[in-house]
Amino acid sequence: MSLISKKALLKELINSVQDVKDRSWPNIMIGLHVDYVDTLNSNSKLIDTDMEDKKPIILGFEGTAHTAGVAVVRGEEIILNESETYFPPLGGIHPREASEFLGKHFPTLLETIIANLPFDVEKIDAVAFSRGPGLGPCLRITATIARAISLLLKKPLIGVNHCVAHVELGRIITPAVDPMVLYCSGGNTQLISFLNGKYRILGETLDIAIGNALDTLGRKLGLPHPGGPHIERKAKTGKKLLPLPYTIKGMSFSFSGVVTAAQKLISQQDVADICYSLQEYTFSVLAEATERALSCTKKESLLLTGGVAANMRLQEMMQNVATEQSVEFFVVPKNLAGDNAAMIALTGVRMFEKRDFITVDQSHVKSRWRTDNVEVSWF
Amino acid sequence: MMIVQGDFLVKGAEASIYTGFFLQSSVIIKQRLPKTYRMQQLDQTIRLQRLRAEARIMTSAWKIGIQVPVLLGINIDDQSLLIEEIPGELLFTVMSSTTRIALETIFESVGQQVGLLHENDLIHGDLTVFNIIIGENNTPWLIDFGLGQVSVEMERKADDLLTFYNTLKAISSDFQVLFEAFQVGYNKEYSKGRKTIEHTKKIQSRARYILPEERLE
Repeated sequence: MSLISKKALLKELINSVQDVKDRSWPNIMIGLHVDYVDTLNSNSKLIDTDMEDKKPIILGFEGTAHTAGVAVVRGEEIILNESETYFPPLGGIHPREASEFLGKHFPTLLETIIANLPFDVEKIDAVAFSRGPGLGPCLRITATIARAISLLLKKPLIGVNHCVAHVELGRIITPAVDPMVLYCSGGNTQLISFLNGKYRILGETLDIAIGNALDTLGRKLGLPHPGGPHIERKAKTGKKLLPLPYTIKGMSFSFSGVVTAAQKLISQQDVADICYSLQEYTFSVLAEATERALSCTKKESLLLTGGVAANMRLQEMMQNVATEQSVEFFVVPKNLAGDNAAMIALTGVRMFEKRDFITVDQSHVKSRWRTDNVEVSWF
Repeated sequence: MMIVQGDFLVKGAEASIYTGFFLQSSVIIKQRLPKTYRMQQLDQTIRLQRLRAEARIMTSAWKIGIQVPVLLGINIDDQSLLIEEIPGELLFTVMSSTTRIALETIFESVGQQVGLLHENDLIHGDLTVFNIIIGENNTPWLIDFGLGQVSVEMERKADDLLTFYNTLKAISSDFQVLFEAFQVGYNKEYSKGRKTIEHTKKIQSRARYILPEERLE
């Protein structure tokens, strides 16, 4: 297939992906798949053998919940990183609407990426996508487009765990080598460290994530979604510490109770004080759990990652925890703290180096893929 | 009181431990130092709460005959406890140097101690392999009751079991066998043992992304 026809095909494909609903494949992909299997049979290898000393170029797709992202990286260098985030007009994220948002924005994002690519599309070595965990409808949209591109370019497909990608991003762009990781975002809150070939979860939320807790209070206060940054702003003027529950169970924690308690205060107390108290209580719980995890595992650095890592008060507390435990503290930069495709592509590079591929027919999404179920071949 | 404060031993997550001598026997002094990351007001409340809980639960457990170190004194002013020193190794350390067969016996006796604790409505609050010392003749000693409480609620007891199961899962590949041995001992000493384990599964099912095959059997 010549490059020109490939470009035309890409265009057709982009258009067809727009109509993808749930699991159905666009017709064009079925034809591509036959082509792909033929290549597999005849060539048995999808990658060049003289790749060894070259830095792999990976195209990454992120789409687990509210962010549609496409990125291209070469080795550890981020070349392009584009994303669109879904902001619900009212309430929280609706899975169907979020997935429709992704389906609508992936084609345009991809077009932007292809247009700005400093080299030929053919140079891409593999396609990585967020395979889980996340909202099923969103994951399926992302997987469909990644499969299509993988088939079109005849390049291997890499299924990346979203949570592990957050950790890997931190390990690549900060000097942290083998850190204790506090990954806190709107959907996950976990204390992760590497032990015996896998990322282990030492402690995690027993109900809702920290970002979810902040967003929930934000919604009740009438703040726009996501509520986290708005709560942080309001908390700056809060002075009075209101009594709230402080729930820590070993190294695990729970936030649903403290949010309910904070909600009950809404009509009686100053909004700034409520925001301030909620932040102080929940972040103190996180800090304490992190300190325990550090003292148990004796890791020499602490890494803060995930969307809530952008919160300055949380950063300040974690810095203090690190000082108390005499470990180094690293935090991912604000622009890469939230969900993004660069982290998927960067993890894809590591997995590419270990030839950790999946075939299209085995690339079903895993919406409940736990961090501690990922076989880490590349650490 | 004659306390000879000795060397600084270890800085844990929550407290600093010093060795010392009291009435000619070895003791440890466990001091809860202020945490700079927490707001002072919150920190003060939490530390005092924990000091009280620890003293209360430890004494109650000791009276019942559970294997816990003896509490010798409390100093509210500098938030420190004077505790008998238990010679031995942490269960975590023991786990890496002991055969699985021997470990199963150890875990059964750990289960017995925890069963006794729960039978008497005492909750540990932070039951992990880092909070159990294995002393002479492989006797388990429960330590660190800072998050402890007195409660008849099954939820609190099941929380203890789940915390224990989760840390076990995080550090050992034999976690299922070991937790089974633990259950044998636990059921021996606690009359509602089976019910509590059932309840633990219920709490576990509330967690995020738990697959059927990972659930506690």
